[in-house]
Amino acid sequence: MSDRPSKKLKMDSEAELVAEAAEEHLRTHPHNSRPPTPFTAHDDGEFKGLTKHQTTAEQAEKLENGPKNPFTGGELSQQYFKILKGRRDLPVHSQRQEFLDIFHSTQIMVFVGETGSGKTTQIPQFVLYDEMPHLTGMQVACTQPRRVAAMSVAKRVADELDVELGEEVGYSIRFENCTTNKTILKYMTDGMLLREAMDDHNLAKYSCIILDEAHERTLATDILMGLLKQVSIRRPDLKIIIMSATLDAEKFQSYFNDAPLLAVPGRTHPVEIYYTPEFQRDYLDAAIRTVLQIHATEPEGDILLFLTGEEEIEDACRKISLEGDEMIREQGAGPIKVYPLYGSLPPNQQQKIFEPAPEPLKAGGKPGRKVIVSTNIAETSLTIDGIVYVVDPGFSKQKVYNPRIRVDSLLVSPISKASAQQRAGRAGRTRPGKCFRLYTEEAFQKELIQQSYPEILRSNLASTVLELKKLGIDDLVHFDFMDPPAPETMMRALEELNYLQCLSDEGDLTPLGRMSSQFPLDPMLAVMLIGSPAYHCSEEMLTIVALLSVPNVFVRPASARKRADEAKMAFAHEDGDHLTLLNVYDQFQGDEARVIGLHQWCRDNFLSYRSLTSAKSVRSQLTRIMERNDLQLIGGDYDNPSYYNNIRKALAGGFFMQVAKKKSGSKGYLTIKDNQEVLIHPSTVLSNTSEWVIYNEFVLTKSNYIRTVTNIKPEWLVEIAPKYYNLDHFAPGDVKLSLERVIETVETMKRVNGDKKVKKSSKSSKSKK
Amino acid sequence: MGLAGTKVKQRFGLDPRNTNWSNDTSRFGHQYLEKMGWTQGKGLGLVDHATTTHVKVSIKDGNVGLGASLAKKQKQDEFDSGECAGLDVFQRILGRLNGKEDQINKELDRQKTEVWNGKWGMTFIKGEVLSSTWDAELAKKASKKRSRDNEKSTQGSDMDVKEPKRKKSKSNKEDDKKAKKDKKEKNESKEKREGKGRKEKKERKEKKEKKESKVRKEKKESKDKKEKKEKKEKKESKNTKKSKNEKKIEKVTRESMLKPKESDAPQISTRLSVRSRWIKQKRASVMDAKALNEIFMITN
Repeated sequence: MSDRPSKKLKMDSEAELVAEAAEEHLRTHPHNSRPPTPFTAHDDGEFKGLTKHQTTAEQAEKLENGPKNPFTGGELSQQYFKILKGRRDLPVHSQRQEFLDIFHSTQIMVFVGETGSGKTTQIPQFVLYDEMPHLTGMQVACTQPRRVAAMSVAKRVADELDVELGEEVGYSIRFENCTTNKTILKYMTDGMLLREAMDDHNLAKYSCIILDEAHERTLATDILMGLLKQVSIRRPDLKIIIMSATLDAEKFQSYFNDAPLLAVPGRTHPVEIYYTPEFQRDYLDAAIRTVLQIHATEPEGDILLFLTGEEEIEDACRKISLEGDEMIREQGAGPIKVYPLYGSLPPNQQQKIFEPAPEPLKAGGKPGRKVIVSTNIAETSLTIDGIVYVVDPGFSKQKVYNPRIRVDSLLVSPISKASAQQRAGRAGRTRPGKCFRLYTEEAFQKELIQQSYPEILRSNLASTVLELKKLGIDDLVHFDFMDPPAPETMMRALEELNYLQCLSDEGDLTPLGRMSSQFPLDPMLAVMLIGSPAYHCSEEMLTIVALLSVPNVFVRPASARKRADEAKMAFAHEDGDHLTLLNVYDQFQGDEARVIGLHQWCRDNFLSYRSLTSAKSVRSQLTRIMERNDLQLIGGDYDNPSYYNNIRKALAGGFFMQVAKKKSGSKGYLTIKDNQEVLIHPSTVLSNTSEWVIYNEFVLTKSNYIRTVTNIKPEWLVEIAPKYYNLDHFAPGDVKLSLERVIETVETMKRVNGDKKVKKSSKSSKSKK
Repeated sequence: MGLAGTKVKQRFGLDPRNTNWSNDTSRFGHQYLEKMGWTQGKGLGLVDHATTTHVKVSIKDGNVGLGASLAKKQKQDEFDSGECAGLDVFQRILGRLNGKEDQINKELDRQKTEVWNGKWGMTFIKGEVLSSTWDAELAKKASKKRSRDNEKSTQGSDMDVKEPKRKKSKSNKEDDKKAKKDKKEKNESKEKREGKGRKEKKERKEKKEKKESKVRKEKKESKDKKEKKEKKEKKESKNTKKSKNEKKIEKVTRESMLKPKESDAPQISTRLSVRSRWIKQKRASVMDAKALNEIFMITN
């Protein structure tokens, strides 16, 4: 790297230089890494006589019956036997032998079982009793798309096996690793397994990998499937199970070279489906009326209503409760309880949905009813018993990415037929149910697509491409994607990485790219962090990046919008929202907040305690990664007059591709290069006069908004990313003209200051190396 | 939205799809993919179903339910507004004229007393029964087996008992519309419609209307009123088989509303041709939702 021509060196960004330096430093002064603690496992010969891949269900059940725990040697508790009895009643249990037969006969198998069949908890245990990974020092991994699921399932399985969570059974999620050297069964998010694969291309420590909830087709699961298909050839001893809850199992089968399939019927009751005779003019209104009508006329049973977003859900909850109360008063209807359910809801409120339906008002009176108004998380991931009626307007919010204008947006769009069936199935969990679809049967047939689009087709692939490169996959064109992404999306990702200098012009990973892939962040943010020591503000950047990767910290309840806005303005920094975030975090960590109490302080200031604490943990995780990579942690340089300028420059170092320029004579902005007309989101603290701004996100609603903006100087952009701001690639127009002017002034300034600078050049950051 | 609707202005930038970017083949991404063996217009990967464009989702503005675009396509004529509250009252009158006064009044009163349903006014048609979420095969077969008649028999059976509708409700009118549509299909245009593409439809519609009126005139002369009535009653009895009482009444009333159009007109036209035109105009206004609402001074 050092023998590069100096002319090229000039093009390198600060981040690239920092990364190269850090990597060089790591090579010359490696961390004294502790040798990995050897794998320890209990073995008193419980499994003697059993041969791997030849066990039977009978043998395994005998071991399960105790009296000693075969994995720890300890006494089995009363609780264990109680759970065991329940486990034996699960649908999957009756097909244990069948499962083992197929498992033995093949390397890759597909397993289909509805939610509630017990597949997530039982199949990995079946595998444990067959693989006996502890005897060979291997592990079994089971991936989950969601962190919460990985944690809660691991807890459950630890109880079922009567072991401590984190010992024989553990979990590993993005900000938490709860495993020890004893762990033989590891629940993890699909993203975590992918990260492990980046360092260990063959996933050598696993003897069996189970991809659960494959039907959700998350980005990480899709990449893992492509990867495992390759690994399976290199490692014939690795067993792979693809678990899905829906009907598209054939697709998995054919993708994995006609892998055998085992389907376990779930315990579902028939669900009658009803359609409206005509389309609804207002589906929200129709949904509310349907819920009330069910409450008024249908027999006992809880209701699940699917809506699209937080705001809509809260609104519907309020209206249903209001009308419900009136029904109780005026019509003598049974009591009704309404619970919202969406991702950003605090966990304790999410738990409320499991409360039983309210009691009748008086003995023998009309039964009470529970209504859950949910986003599509209740579609597959959460199982709520007692639901008999499902109301389905046919919409959900979906993420879509447009590579041409580079917008990642959440849009309300029609669900797929598969989703609609899944939703309907929710009504038949406890007894025969009904599903009310607020659209016509014709609309179901004609307007809904067959399957939802997998995430890989709807996402920005910048970090995925970086991961793939790190996984050693160079030919991105011929990688065996189950559903290959659009070429333009791939191009955008490659270009972004190239401009960020994570990929060289030849398409190889640069030191900066290698380092960026270590961060569980968008490459843009990773590059920004890596470059920050050059601007003496890595501490500040850590904070900002952490806050950008958690849900919005500002709370704006509908009842107190004005006060919330005022509270926000108290933190405002004149140069923009990123710096405002920094202020918030500083005060959150400050003495005043501690004295008042963090919870109270957050409430007083209309901030989200949950977001801030998770930002704190993200920050500490990122700090560890910085340390591991020998990146300097500096900051707090308050006395420096250019303290804030340095932070803004560091921000520009990552966000130089997300810049908008004010249009002359209007309040609108124009994004650079992509030339999209945008407005600054009204939530900003920035006054509308800044000419050049960087933005964190571009959201598509009725009008296009850019959100979380900070004011910058165009000179920085030209300096930091000369390649991106190469005017040859700009369409003629206002932006190009002003950039030409900027470059001109920069050049003249350089010429004027040139002579002075030469003498002082030892001070400039570029010569530091 | 008509003229009264709020005007929504939408502005587009110079290049909202950024073709400037996508047409530039000298970009790094483009070059790199081509280097790796990709050709423009093809998808990535090893499968043959690879997509070549990104997923496009149109922005949904407002709360219109699924299938609104389908409904627009099906709109058959200017009378088919689907939002006519005045029809209730009109149905009562027609019912009286047709000697069905008791039946209709009973039904309307019954619905009035059941405030529940009137207030919430949602109507549903029973579709398939889902036995398990994954046995698609079974579901498919079931839905295929289910013939149209079958569907009709289930339609309105338990759902309508549990969730009867009130005439004023929107959904009900939509139901009316459907009934009307069904009838039309049966009467004349079924075969024609099936054979035609969508584009033709519009042109055909106009023609059809003309034809209809011609046919009507011919009919007028050949058939007398009594015959018509008999025919109508036959149809009613068919309907009774197919759907439950309430539904039937609706259909009857709807038909009866349309019927006079065919049966009364001939006599008048032969006797008083000037007057007939005037009556036609009146009838048109009566069939128009808004006009009807105005006549009966109903505000929604």
